[in-house]
Amino acid sequence: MMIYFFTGLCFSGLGLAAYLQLHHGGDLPLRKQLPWLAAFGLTCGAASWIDMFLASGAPQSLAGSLAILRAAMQALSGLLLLKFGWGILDNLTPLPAWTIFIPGVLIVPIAYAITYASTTFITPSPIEIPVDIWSRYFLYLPGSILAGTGFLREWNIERKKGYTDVANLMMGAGLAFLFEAFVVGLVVPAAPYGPASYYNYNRVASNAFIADQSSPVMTSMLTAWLDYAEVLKTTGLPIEFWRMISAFAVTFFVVRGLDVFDATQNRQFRALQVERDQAQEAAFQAQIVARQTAESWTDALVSISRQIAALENVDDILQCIVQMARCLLGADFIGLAILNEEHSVLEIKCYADNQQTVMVSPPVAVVNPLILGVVSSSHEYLTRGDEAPEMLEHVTLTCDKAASSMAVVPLNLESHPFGALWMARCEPLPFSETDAIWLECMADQVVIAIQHGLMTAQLQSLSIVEERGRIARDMHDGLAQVLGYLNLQLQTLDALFKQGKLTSFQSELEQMRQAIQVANADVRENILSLRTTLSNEKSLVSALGEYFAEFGVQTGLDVAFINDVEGNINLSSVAEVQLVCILQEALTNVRKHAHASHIRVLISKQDEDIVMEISDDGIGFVMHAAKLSFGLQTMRERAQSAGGEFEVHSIPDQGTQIECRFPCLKPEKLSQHSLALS
Amino acid sequence: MNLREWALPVYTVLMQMAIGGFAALWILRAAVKVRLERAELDRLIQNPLIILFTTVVVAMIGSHFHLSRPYLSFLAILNFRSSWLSREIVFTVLTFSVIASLSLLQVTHRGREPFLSALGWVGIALGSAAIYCMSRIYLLPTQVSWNTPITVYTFYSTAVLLGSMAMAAILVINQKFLEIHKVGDATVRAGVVRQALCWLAGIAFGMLWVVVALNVFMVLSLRSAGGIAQISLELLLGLYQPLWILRLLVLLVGVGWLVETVVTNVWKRTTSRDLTMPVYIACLLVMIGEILGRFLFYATHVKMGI
Repeated sequence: MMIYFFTGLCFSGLGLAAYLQLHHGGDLPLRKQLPWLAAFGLTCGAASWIDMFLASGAPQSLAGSLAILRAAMQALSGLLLLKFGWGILDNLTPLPAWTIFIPGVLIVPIAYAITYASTTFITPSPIEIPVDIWSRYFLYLPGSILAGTGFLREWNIERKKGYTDVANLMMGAGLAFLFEAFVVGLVVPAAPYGPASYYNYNRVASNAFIADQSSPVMTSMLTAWLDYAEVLKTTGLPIEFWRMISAFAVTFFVVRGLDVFDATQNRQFRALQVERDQAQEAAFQAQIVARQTAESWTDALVSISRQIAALENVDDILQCIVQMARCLLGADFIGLAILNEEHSVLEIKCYADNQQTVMVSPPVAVVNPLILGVVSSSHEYLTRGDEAPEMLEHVTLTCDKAASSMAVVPLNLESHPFGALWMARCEPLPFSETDAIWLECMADQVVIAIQHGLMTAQLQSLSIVEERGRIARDMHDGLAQVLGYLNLQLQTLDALFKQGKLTSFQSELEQMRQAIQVANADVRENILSLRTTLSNEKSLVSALGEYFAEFGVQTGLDVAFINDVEGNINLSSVAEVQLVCILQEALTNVRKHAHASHIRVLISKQDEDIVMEISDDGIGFVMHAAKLSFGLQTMRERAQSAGGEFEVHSIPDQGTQIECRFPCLKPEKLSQHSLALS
Repeated sequence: MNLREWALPVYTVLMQMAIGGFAALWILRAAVKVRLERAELDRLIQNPLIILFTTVVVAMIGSHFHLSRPYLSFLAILNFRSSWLSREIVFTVLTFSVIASLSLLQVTHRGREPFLSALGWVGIALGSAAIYCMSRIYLLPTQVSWNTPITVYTFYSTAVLLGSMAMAAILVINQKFLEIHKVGDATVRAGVVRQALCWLAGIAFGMLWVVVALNVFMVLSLRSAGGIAQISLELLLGLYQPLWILRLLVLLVGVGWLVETVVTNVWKRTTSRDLTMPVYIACLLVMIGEILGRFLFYATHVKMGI
């Protein structure tokens, strides 16, 4: 009775524990089958306790009903165990495709077994006996074997995952179920039909193969140690005791397995949290590094652009580029090579290594086939690691070691390659695609610097030519005329002196003096104009102010320069140049033609325009007559070429006002312009 | 009935199921061979043929268990002229040979189409002869409950009913197997299997009522025969009545389940669930019903005289 009680207690405990675990998560295949395990445990426990009541001598009126209820509970619990076992096995690793034929193969023995079992019910014995026997054979035995196999497979899976504690408990549960398969599913009450007639715990064997005769003589062919009678004789423990042991083992291992799995899962969860935190920290650090890298590159590119805009020496700019690229890309060597004038030889222009940045002179020809190939094909090249060693020779000029990796990008001017920029490392650390992209950026800066240098040189040549022309024109119109006039006057003076006309002589001499003063003023003004230039060190307003003040000193006129603009004057560089030229031209006109004593220059801002007003108190002129003036027309064209406007207002004897208006730069253009200038 | 006697239901039912299934398979092959390429046709029948071959082997091995000296079983063919048992053995062996040959040719992809086709029809004829000889063994004057044409019809009805059900299950499982392996044109093959399932379900449904009718005729025949036959009738409707009712019930449920599955999933296509399990269970139920029927056939006979 106690055995039945403890067996029921074990199974009920199993059912209760499984029920309580239902709401827990997890990916253990056992989880999904917990409802069936819980139902199995509770029904099996109930069947055992019914056994306990029957063994304790239940009233005769209840005994029959209890026996039927017990048989029903046993069949139900067996069915639930079979479902649990099938489920736990089915949820594991998918079986091979051919296994779908297994049901087709098993259908025949299953059909015969069920039919055979159904025929055994046609006996005078109580129906509980065949129910007990066949529920054990058809439900408990396969259910326990499936569950045991499922747990053993789970043991294998958990063992491979490294969860040794869970794996051991799964193995224990598997073995416990297999033990239960034997003691619960295979050892049945005696019956006059096989296989119950051969192996039962009533120690009765009959030969059902030839007849339905019962025999008290043991004729079992099983191994002696496995024979129930032998087990009973040796241990003195009945089958109910072994069933209790199996129930206890199953309950212990399954419940412990669930608990340990929870603990393991929590441990795993915590480990995942730590990993996630570490990954987040690493991602954060990576973001910082990426940001710093981007900032470094931005600073480098801005610095290079500034140098280009400041019209620094191109060679200095190129050295700066290769130096910065080497530092930012972590290369051991960076080289810049340009085709010679005949486009026949690729010559190293400059390079940078860990110690120095050098302009190469006299030029050294590049012989590396990869670099030459990039220039000829105009396609970048990134070493993959499978290049022949000779392909990486003559890449670095200074390193003792041969290069182990390199990246080469072409320098293209209007789609035509004219050189190459390459970087190399001696250590076995290959360059990434990103490195190659950054190198391309640097190559673009090289091209811009070279292009800018060429254009500056061309502009300087043009400016010199233009200035020479202007000086020649001024000398022809001014100084040469004066000198010619003076020559004629000298001849006149010579004639007057010979004729003794001293009064006329004195008058002509005075005229000559005035002509020389005019020529002197012209020359001084030209010198002033030549000296007035715009530069980064001097703002437009200060340049204009200085020029205007100098003009006043030279001419002796009363000058007033007023700047009403707060802050910087945001004009394009072209507009600034034209503004200065217009002022010079206007002041020249005032000096030569206006006979003014006061000149005022006002710089102001109206709406989005910068306005320069030049007014004098001279003799003025008639407007329609001035339309054909070459000087005014030139000033108007200068204003219009920079997107500005030019207006002249003059009334005879009331002076002249010139208004010149240029649009300010818009904020976004201003930033680009500033960047370009800087 | 002791365990040794169970060898007879094993042999007769399995053999009849194999022959019925083979006939169904070959008729299906003949019906669809114009629609399918040779390779697709081979894929459709190869696995079912191997399963039928295995069934015949199991049946023949099982038959030996009711012999006292199985190793001398081949001597039974010596009485071919006078014994239905000898004829049964000869035709069974010939049927086995044909199915084995066809399986071998199918696996090795040999044999021309006309030859294979003709060989299959010969196999069906030999199988039919084997079933006839099998049934004639029981037409003995001393065995009143057996000695009736109903026995012959019953054996043939088992072949047709079980053969249809078994072939339905085998075709569904084979289709699933080929789908998993992604072999051949699954769409065309699925169409053929769906059509075959409709026909097989229809045949099974028709045969169900034939079996019910044969059972009714058997009861009426025993009742009218009187004498020893009356004892058989009392056994059938007395001691074995639960099994007799159970047999008819599982047959009804099994065939009904197949028909319901085919109608809802194949014909009307109102659902698209996996057909394997319902068809498998339906086949299992019908097989249990037929084996129960064969058990009752042996259990209710009463020998007249000594």
